[in-house]
Amino acid sequence: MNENGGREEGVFTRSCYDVIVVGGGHAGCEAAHAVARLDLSTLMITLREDRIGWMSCNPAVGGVGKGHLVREIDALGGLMAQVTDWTGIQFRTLNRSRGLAVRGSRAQCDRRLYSSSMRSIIHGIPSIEVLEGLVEDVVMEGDGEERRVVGVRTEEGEEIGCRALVLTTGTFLNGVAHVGHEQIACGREGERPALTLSDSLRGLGLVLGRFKTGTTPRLDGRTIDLKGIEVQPGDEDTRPFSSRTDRASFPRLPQIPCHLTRTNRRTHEVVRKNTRHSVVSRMNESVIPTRYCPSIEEKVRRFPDREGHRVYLEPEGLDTHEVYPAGLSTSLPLDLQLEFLRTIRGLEEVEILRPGYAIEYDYLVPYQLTPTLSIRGLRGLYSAGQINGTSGYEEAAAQGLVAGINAGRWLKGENELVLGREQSYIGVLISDLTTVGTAEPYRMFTSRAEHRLLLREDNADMRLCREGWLAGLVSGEQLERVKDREARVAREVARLERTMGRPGADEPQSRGRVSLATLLRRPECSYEGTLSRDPNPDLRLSGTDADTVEAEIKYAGYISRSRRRLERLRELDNLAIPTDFDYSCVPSLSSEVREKLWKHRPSTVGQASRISGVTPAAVEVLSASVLRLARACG
Amino acid sequence: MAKASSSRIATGMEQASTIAAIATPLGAGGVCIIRVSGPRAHRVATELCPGLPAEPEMRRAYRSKFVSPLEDKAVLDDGLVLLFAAPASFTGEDIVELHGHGGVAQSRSLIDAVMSLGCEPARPGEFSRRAVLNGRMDLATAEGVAQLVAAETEAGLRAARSLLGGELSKRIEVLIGQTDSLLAQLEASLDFPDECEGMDESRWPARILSIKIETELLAGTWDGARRLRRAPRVVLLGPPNSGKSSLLNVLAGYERAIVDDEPGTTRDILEIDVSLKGLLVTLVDGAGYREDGERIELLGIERLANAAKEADLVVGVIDGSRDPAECEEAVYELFSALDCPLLMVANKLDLGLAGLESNLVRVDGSSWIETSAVTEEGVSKLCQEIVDLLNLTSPGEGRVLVTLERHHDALCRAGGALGEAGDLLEKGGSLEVVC
Repeated sequence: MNENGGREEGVFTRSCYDVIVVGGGHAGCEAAHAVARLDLSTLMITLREDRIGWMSCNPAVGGVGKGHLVREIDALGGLMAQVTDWTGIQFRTLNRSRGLAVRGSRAQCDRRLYSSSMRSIIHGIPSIEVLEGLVEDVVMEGDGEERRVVGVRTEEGEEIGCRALVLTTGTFLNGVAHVGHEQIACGREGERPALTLSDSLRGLGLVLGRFKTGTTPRLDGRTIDLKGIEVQPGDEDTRPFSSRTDRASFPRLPQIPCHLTRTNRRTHEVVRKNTRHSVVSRMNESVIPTRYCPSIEEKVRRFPDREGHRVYLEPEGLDTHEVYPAGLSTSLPLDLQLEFLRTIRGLEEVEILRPGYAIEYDYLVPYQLTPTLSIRGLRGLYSAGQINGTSGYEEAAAQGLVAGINAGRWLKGENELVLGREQSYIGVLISDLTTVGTAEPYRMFTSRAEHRLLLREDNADMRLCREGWLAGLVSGEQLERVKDREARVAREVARLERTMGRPGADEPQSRGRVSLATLLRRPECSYEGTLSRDPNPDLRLSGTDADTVEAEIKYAGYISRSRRRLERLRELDNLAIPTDFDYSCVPSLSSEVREKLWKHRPSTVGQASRISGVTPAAVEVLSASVLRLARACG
Repeated sequence: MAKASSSRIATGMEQASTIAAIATPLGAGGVCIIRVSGPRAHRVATELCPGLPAEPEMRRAYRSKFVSPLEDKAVLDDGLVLLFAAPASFTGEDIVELHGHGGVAQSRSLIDAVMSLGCEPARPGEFSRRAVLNGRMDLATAEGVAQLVAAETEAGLRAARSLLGGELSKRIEVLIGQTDSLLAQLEASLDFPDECEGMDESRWPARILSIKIETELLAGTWDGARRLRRAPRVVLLGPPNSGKSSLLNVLAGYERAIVDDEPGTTRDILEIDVSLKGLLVTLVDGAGYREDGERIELLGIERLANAAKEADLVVGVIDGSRDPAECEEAVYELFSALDCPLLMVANKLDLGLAGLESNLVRVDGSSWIETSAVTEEGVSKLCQEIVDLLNLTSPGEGRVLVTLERHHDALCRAGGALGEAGDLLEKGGSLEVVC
């Protein structure tokens, strides 16, 4: 304790925790749980205990790319997949007609049950304490490179000590909600914002940006006329998100359908005429809206020719009338929200329970993060979730898990967890954030992963279980199960390669016989489709095993191509750039590229090559300079 | 000085060096231009040119004596000096051009003086390389510069100028734009399955196909553009002893091939560059076509067939004095297999012609020229026909042509990948693989 920390001697009123997690959302829960699993004491400070694990936006988990993240969280020993399995009221696989790599699992959850399940997990862990409160300040000790987190100061002026701190503040930093012309300072609907923490972070020399996102009005389901609206039931045969979920008792809850309606010209007319009343027209230019979750105002503005946009009516739970109309995020005044809603089929007499709103908030510009999610130059400080510029529960939870694991492992003096881009979507997410940054709230898609054929939902456990085990979150028993699965799949792939298929019923006997694997490689054929040609049907696998077999065989050629590309990339990734490398000594770099390199300070040429705006030519020049430097230094 | 150069080594930055080279052909030319580029370029100018004002204007020619940097300050030459300041110069660095008098010894003494002031000799293409690295031009443009300098033919010059103007880059940008927009649609349909309605997936294969065709058309100009990289190849083909070698010798103006009355004498393909009516062409002569030839001659035939593949024009030579029926079939087979312009010659006019018109004209309808290698009758007409035909098939003006191996290779690979993607889509393959 010293004066430099700006703190008086001995005011800690509580004992020191190993880790404090600020926030109890999806990132905060995963972080606290991960830390606790590493046998460290944890304090979760959240504004409202009853909002732990709350879904602030739509009551759904997963989707294309996001479902991948959820399964990866599960493979690493996180919570989200299990809680989704317990509380899901509709399970669906998106992109069923596409290949395995881009299929995404999605679940509608009961919002209240999701939160209460998460709360009971958190409360059930003895080493996690939960405190309701507002953190106003991060307390540091030391100077320069030696600055280190020692605690937080709450609104009440209480200082609580910790050895590491994970910030998962979501949209609460300086949050301002917009409904029509009204602006309300809040963290999300009905909750207070964190007004001074931003200043505290700026005081530490951190750079903050401002993002905007929005949510939809909540509807009274009793006033919706579902007659004549398309019903969208869940899939019959979906698999749980978590490999730990017992298939026999899945799904636990009764399954209910969503409904699908759409906006029309009249809807768009109302929105277009009134956009001036929306925050879209007023928002400060420097606040960047989310492109991947646009408000209806933005959809109408950006796609003037579209006749209509889909609206999914998602039930919020089993024992509530509340309905979430996905796709209608808006910040129009309440009366106009009602006016445009009532132009939509089925919603002619709808009543709004709570209005939609837009919210703008501060985020930490993510180039200040390291790949472990610690904040550069401030030891013991980690951040995860929307505060890092992402959007979405899954993205937040994935970061929370990594930040929690790494805060814990750093405290224990163990190797931190850094996942590769070729290994996981989590790796893609974090490396994009730390090397490319993001100009708008970052959402995961499959097209962000250059090794997408390798990164599938079906093999998430095979890709990451070992990492989870090494990190201390996954049991040895579970790792064994995954190894068994790997062996099973490998055996079956080998069997299909060498087993000749029986001739099809409609094919002449004389036609050359081919192996089952060759059959499976035909675009129109599936693993299921080889059943009738298989001389040993009792050897066949089912479920996720079958998916993995199919993917491994179908993608084999592409996967080996992908691996070859990976090898070449590895060469660049192995080319380390010295930390004190002087980019101004590389005169042939454009000043734009040079500025980006100074800002991101990539640790390898491979990382540099992924920074947006760094051209292939610049990469060539840079690798040449780095190599030459290495030779000169012997 | 020593300190500066050691820090250069430490950071590994050779680009900090100043390079110099004689930019004009070394010889007895009237003017010799020395170009210097790099941070020390302007220092070099002030040291060598006492006629420069203290603060010279950029891009202005100053008259000055060129003096030795040694103690004696001996006058080496009297000429013009121009300065360009970074980044507004060809290489993006400071540049100096010294225009002195030509002459080998004179040029050497001037470049030695420049080098003694801490410049390094420029490696081939290094000025352009620096321009590329400094973002002064893209690679395709730089390649255009190289080609411009090396162009042997007028059409080659046009192609180089078009590359220099960035026209190939523009064409390729358009293709990249189309591909990107299609790719964005494909990816969007994968990543936003709930939001992407109204996309007409059935049109995707056709769109891929159209980009592929454009790409291949562009790549296809490479074949036509071969002529720009080298003199056109004119291959003489025909049955043994039809007098190809004699004809080649007449065309070349001297005895080149081994000429003998015995059929099958010529065993090596002979190539010779000749100027026909002012047009530089490479004449290729080879073994006669004969089915029952000796082994050594067969080898020659095989090589010849390859040579014919590279031909811009084939001159089919037959012995016009013999009964055409004897060789008709073989000639027909050989010539009809070629897919390049063909000019038919009935040689040995001096021995009299034997009823050609009726039988042989149908070989692809080409015109016949009657020649005699002995009397040189008809040879001038043959030359004119060759030149006319080559000019007729010369790559058109104003078209964008792919003239470099690297570009052709990249376009072919792109076309192949597009083809693969299109096939996959057609066959109902998974979209995530197509992208």
